[in-house]
Order: sequence, then C-alpha cells, then structure tokens
Amino acid sequence: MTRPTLTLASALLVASIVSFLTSCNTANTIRVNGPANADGTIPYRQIINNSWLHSKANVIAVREATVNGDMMRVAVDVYSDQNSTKRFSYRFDWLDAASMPVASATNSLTSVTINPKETITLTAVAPSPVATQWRLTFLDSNG
Amino acid sequence: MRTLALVLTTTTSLALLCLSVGCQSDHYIQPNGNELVVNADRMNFQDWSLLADQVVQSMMTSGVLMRLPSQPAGIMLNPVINTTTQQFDTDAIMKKIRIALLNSGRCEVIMTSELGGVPEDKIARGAQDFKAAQNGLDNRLNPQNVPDATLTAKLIEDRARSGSTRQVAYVLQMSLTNTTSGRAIWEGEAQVVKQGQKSSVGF
Repeated sequence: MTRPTLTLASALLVASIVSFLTSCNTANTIRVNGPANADGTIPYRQIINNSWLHSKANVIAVREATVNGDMMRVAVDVYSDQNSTKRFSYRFDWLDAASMPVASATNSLTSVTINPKETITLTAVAPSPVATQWRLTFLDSNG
Repeated sequence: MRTLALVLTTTTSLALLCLSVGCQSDHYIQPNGNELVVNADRMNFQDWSLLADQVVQSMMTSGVLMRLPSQPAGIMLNPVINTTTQQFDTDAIMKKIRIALLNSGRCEVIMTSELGGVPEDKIARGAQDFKAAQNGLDNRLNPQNVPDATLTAKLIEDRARSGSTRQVAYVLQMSLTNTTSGRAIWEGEAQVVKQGQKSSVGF
C-alpha cells in the first residue's frame, strides 16, 4: 500500500466529514423567556444547536411593541462575531395565547448578509392580533 | 494493516457521502424552508412571500389602517402593473397581501362593487342586488360597495451583469389612496435582489 494512496484516502475522509457536517444544517432558536424587564427589554432564551451559526447570528437584544392598535411587532438585534462577511437565514413563527401556531400568508425564510462585527436588526409584525407569542429560527446559509 | 486502514477509511468516506447526499428521489419540501430552488434570473415562489411580507409590515407599522374612517375599512385592489420580463399571475403576490390585510382585522375587501368593471364575486353581487330589491333599494347606490381606500401596485425589475455574475432586482411599489380625499395616505416599496451564475438550491 503506497503512501499516496493512503493520503488520497485520508483526504477523501476529511472531505466526506466536511460534506456530512455541512449537510447537517441544525437550527438555532430564540424565544421569549418571561415578561418584559423594568427597563423595557425582553428576556429571551437562545437554543443553540449550531455554534458556527451562533457565531455569526448571535442575538444580543430583543424588543417588543404594538403597531396598528393591537398587533405585536418584534425587533431582534443580531451580532456577528466573525471577521468576514457572512450569510444566514431566519424565519419568525407566531403563536397565539394558547401557544398554538398562527398561520401567516407571508411567512418565509429570509436570507441576510451580515458584515464583520456588525449588528443588524431583524423585525417582524404579527400576522394577526391573536398572535401574542413568537419564535425566531436561524438557519445557516453556507456563507 | 495498511490495507485494513485503507478499507476502513474508504468505507467510512463513502458512508458519510451517502448520508450527506441522502435520497435524491422526488419529495415534498417545506414551503417556508431552505430547500427551495433559487433562480438568479427569474422570480421564484419564495420571492412573492418576501415582497408581500415587506409591504405588509410597512403598512402595519405605519398605523394607517387604524386611521381609516370606518373600521373595518372597505378596500379594493387595482390589478398589479407587471413591467418585469416575466409573465406570471400577479395574484400570487396580491393574494398574500389581501390575506395579511384581512387577518389584521382592520379592513375588508369589497367583492361586490362594479367600480373596477365587473364585481369580483358575481354571485355575491347578484345576491346583494336581490336583497336590495326586496327592500325596495337600488343596489347601484349601495355605499357598502364604495371603498374607503384603494390599493395600487406596480412590479418592476432591474437586471445587471458583471462578468459571469448576474443580478436581478424585483421591486414592488404600492400606494394606498383614501377615496374621500383622493390622496395617497401610505406608500411602500419592497425589494428582492438575487445574484448568481446558474440555478442553485437554498438560500
């Protein structure tokens, strides 16, 4: 068995592992974790299954407001700790007071670009007044 | 020993590759997931949602629907002016906007008015005519069929190319007009920009 053959096999193994890990695009999820603080900020919980994704889409603040009289609006500040421009996708899902899903005709996965060390704000408006809770899902965009 | 190492390495590699590629047979995918086909040179299914979502968010955030004279306000939508190079049913976008507006509870779409030509729901209009006649009224003068506000929309496209990279931008422009004052009370614009060299999958 020659050394070049083993080297080639090792390279194939590394490429396969990278391919396998890349295909496992696990999501990170953010949701509110209790009532608003006295200063108006919203406590939240990040469920991090993908630390690479977390490093380029790390939630640092959450705010909630009401628009159009009775519809919830959410703003989420996201920070990238990376040293190069990255991409990720996100989607807001809405729930009613009983934590049942509220359908939205315009709900879609949105792809965004974030610059190194930049903070961007993701916003969403509830699809109806009955939507009183939300969940934010991040997915990697391989960038 | 080396032969065994080579066999193990190759087998593991192939197994991982098979797992990562997965089954390639026809299958359903999540409409709001990240497996949708993306074309850099044409409008895709997910672009309709992205455009509709942006203008609806803008309209809701402005609070303009809350300020319309009657609640819920009666609205009518003009046909979308599509100046893109792509021919498609623009209801794909407008229906999403209508659903979002109705779900807000702040407005209702008038289906029986003849102001736009023919009623959108002819059967409902016939039933309304019948009920009005039973009450000795002329349904053509029914104020319920006169919208408080109307929506106009235009979809435009911009294309650019640099080397082998192609870029296409789709812009949806919308205006909401108060039919009493005749003035635009809200205007919004949504954009989707895509770059690529050939068809690819995912965001």
